[in-house]
Amino acid sequence: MKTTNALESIGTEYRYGFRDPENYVYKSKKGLSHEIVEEISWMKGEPEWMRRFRLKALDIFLSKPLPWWAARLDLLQEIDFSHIYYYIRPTDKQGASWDEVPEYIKNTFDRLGIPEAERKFLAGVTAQYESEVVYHSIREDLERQGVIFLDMDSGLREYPELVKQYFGTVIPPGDNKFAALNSAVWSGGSFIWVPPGVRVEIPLQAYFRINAENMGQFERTLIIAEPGSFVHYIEGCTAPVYSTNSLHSAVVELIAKKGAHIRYTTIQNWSKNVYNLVTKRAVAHEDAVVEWVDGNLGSKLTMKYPGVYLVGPGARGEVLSIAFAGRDQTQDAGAKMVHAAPHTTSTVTSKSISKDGGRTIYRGGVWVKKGAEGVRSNVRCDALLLDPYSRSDTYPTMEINEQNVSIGHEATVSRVGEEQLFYMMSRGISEPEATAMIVNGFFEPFTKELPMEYAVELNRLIQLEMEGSVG
Amino acid sequence: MAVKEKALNTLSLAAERAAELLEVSESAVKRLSQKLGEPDWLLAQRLEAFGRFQTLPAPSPETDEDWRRTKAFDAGFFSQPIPISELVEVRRAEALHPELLASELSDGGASGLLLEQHLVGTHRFLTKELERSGVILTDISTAAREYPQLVRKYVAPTASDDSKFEALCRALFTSGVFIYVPAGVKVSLPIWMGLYADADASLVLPRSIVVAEPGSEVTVFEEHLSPNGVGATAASALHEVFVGEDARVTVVSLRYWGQTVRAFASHRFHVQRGGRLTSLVASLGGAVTKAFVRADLLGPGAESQMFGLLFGRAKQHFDHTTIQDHFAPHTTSNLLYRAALRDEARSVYAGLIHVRPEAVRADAYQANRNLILSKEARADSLPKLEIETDDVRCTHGATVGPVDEEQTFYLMSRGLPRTEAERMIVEGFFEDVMASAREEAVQNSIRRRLLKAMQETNRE
Repeated sequence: MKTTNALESIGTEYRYGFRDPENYVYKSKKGLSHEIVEEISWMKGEPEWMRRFRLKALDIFLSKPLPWWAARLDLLQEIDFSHIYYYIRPTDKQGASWDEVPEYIKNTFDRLGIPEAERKFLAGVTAQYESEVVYHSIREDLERQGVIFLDMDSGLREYPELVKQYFGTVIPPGDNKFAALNSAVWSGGSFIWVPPGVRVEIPLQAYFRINAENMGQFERTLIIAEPGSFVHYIEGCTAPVYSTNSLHSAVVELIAKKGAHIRYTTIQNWSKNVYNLVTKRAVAHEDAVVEWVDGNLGSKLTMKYPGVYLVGPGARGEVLSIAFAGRDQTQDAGAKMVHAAPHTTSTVTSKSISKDGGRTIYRGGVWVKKGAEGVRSNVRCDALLLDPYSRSDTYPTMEINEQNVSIGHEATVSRVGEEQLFYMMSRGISEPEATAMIVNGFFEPFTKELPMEYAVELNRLIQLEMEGSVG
Repeated sequence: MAVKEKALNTLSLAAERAAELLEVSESAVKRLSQKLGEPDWLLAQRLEAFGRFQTLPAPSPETDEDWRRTKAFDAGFFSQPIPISELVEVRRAEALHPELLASELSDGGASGLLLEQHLVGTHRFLTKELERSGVILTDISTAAREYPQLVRKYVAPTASDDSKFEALCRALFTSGVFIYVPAGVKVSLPIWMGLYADADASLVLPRSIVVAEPGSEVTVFEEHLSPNGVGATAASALHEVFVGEDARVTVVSLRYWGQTVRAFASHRFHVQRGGRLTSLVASLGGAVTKAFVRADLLGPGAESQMFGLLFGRAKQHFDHTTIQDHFAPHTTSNLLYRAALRDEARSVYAGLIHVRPEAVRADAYQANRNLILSKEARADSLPKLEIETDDVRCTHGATVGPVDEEQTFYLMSRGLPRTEAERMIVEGFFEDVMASAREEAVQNSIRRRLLKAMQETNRE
C-alpha cells in the first residue's frame, strides 16, 4: 500500500531525544539489595513503618516470578535488575519558586516546549527530574481550598498519618512483581488530598523525566478525593533516548469516596528504549466517578491496565485510551473493571495504531461479582494497522456472576480505508494529508477529552512525525 | 495384560455383547487393535500416539490459560476402564436403544447411517447409489483394512498441537467412523452417526474422520449420547474434517452425555482452497464439557461458518474454545456461539481469530452471546484477536445479559406459564444457530434434545 509512505516516520525517531550532562548530588549504587532499600529509606528519613513496608515489598519482588501471561515475556526477561540505579537525588533542596529551579532543568522544560503561560496556568507544577521532586509550587487559591498537593516524599513527611492510612491499600506490594519493585524503591510522585465538597477547577500537573543512563524511575502517586469533591490530575512524560534500557515502574492509587470524581490524564511519550511497566488502580465508592484518560506513545514495551474497583452502588468507571506502536515497540495496554456493587457502570474505549512492525495489544477484563445487580458495562476496541508487517491483538476477559446485567464487548481491526482515501484525494487532498486526517480522526474521541494545551501538544507530536515523512 | 472384568451382566443387554474392559496402557492398545482386526500400520500409529500420550503433560489449571477455568480434568480421568469388543453387526436398527433412534433420520431421512451402542453393537446403512459412486461409510478399523492407501492419508498418529486427550483418542479410539465422499459427488440427504455409550463407569473414546474430496458436498450429523445413572463417566472425542477444494461440508456435532460425564472433545476442520465448511456444535448434558473447535483456512477463498449451541442447567459446566485460523489470502470466517444458562450452570467461552501475515484480505467475524436465566448462573467470555497483517476486516463481539422481562411479560399476558414463556425465549435465542444445521430433520433432532435438556429436573 502506498499510503503507508505518509506515515513511515511515525515513531521511528524520537524528537525529544536530547540529554543533559549528568550532574547529580547523590546516586545510589547499581542493583537491588536490602542494604540499598535501607539506604533509600534512611536518606529520606522515613518513619519505621515505611522502612518495613519497603523491605517486605523487596522480599515479595525477589520471590515473585515475571508475569507468565505477558505477551513479550522475552523482553521482560532481558531486564537486568542488578544493572539499574534505584535512587538518584539531583539537588538537596526543594525549589520554593521557579527562580530557584536549577538552570539546566529549566532548559530541559524549555526544549520540551512548555510555554511560560502554560506554567502559570497550571495550578502546581511538580516537576520530577530524576527521582526527586525539584520544583514545587501550589497556587494560593488551592491552599485556601485546603487541597494538599505535594510530592510523595514531602507528603509522607508532612502528613504521615494520612499517608499511612491509604498508602498501598489499593495496590498492595503483592499485586504483581513490578508493583512490589515500586513499593520497595519508590521515590517521588504526587500526593493529593482533596477535602470534602471541594472542586479543583484547574488540572493539577506534574512533569516527569528520566535523565540518567540505566536509571529506573519509580514514582508513586496517591490521590484521595473526599466525598463530593472533584480533581483532575495530569501526568505527562517524555524521556531522552539512551542506548541501554531504562525501566519505569510507577504505582498510582486513586481513592474516590462517595460522590467524588477523579479524572486522571496521562500522555506518555517515552523514548523507545524504556520499559514502562505501570500499575494504576482506583477504588470508586458509592456514586463516585473515576476516569482514566490514557495515551501511550513511545517506549519499548508498555504494560499498563488502569483499573477501577467499583465498590459502592452507582459508582462509575471509565477508561479512554490510545496506543501507538512503531518499529520494535509493543504497547500492551488495556483496562480492568471490577463491579463489586449493584448498579455500577463502566465504559472502556480503546484505540490503537500499529505501524512498521509494531504491535499493539488490548488486554482487559470486566468482572461482575455476585450480588452486583443491574451492572452495565461496555467495552469498545478499535485497531488500525498501517502496514502488513504490524500486528494487533485483543485479549479481553469477561467473568459474569450475576443475572441482571448488561455486558457488551466489541472490537474491530482494520486498515485505513481505501474508499475514504479515494474520496479525500478526489477532493484534492494529497495522500499523506488524507492519511494524516484519517489517523487524527481515529484518535479524535481521545484528543477531545484532553485539556486544550495537551490536545495541542499531542496534535503537534503527530503532526511533526507526519511532516517529516512528507518532506 | 491389564484386563479388568466388571459385573456387566447385571445389565440385561450385556448378554448380547461381551464387552471387555481395558485400562489405559500400551498392552491395551495392542489388544484393542488385534480385536478390531486392524492392519499393522494402524497399530503402529496407535502405539506412536500412545507414546505421545505418555509424554504429554496433564492440563494444569495453574499455568495453562486454556485450562484455568475448568479444573475437573485430573489424572483420574485417564484411570477409568475402556470398553472394547469385536464389531458386532446389528441387522435391525430397532435392536438399539430407542433414545439413539429418536430421530426422523432413522426413518429414511438419511442417505447413510452408522449407529453404535456399546453393549449391543453397530448398525450400518448406506444407499446403494452412494455406495456405487464410491462413498465410504464404515468404522476406521475396517476402512484401514479395505482402503489402506486412502485412510493412511488422513489417519494421522499425531498433530503438533495435540493435547494429552487428543493423543489418547488417537491411541485408543474404540468407536471410529470414516466417511469419504469422492470428488464431485453430492450427497443429498445427511449422513448420520450415532453413539450410545452405555457401558457403565467407562471412558469412551470416539473418533470420526470426514473426508470431502474436491467439489463434493455432504452434510454429516454426529450424535454422542449416554444414559443418566449408568453408562460412560468420561469421554474424549476427536472429530476431524477435511474439506477439499471447492467442497461444501456441513457438520453438526451434538453431544448429550449423562449427568456425571466429564467430556473432552476436539473438533478440527481443515479447509482447502475455495472449500466451505459449516459447523454446528451443540453441547447439552454432561457434568463438565471441555471442547476445542478449530478451523484452519488453508487455501485462498476458503470459508468457515461456525456455530455453537449450549444449554446448561444444574451445576453443568461448559468450556468451549474456538480458533479461526487464517493461513491464506481471501479467506472468510464467521462464528456465532450462543449459551443459555439456568440454575448454577456456567459457561466459559474463549475464541481466537488468528490472521497470519500471508492472509491478506481476510474477513473474520466472531460473536458470543450469553443468556443468563437465573441468579446463580455464570458466563465468562474471552474473545481474542491476533492480527498480523493490515489488509483485513476483523470484528468480534460478546454480550452477557438476562431474559428480557418485557418479552416474558408479553408471553405471560397471553396466558403462557412462566416456564413455557422461558422455553419459547430460549428457543428463539437459538433460532439462528439452529438454522445453520440446514436439514430440517437434523434441526428437529437438535430441537427435540434441547427440549429434553430443558425439561430435565435437577436431581443429582
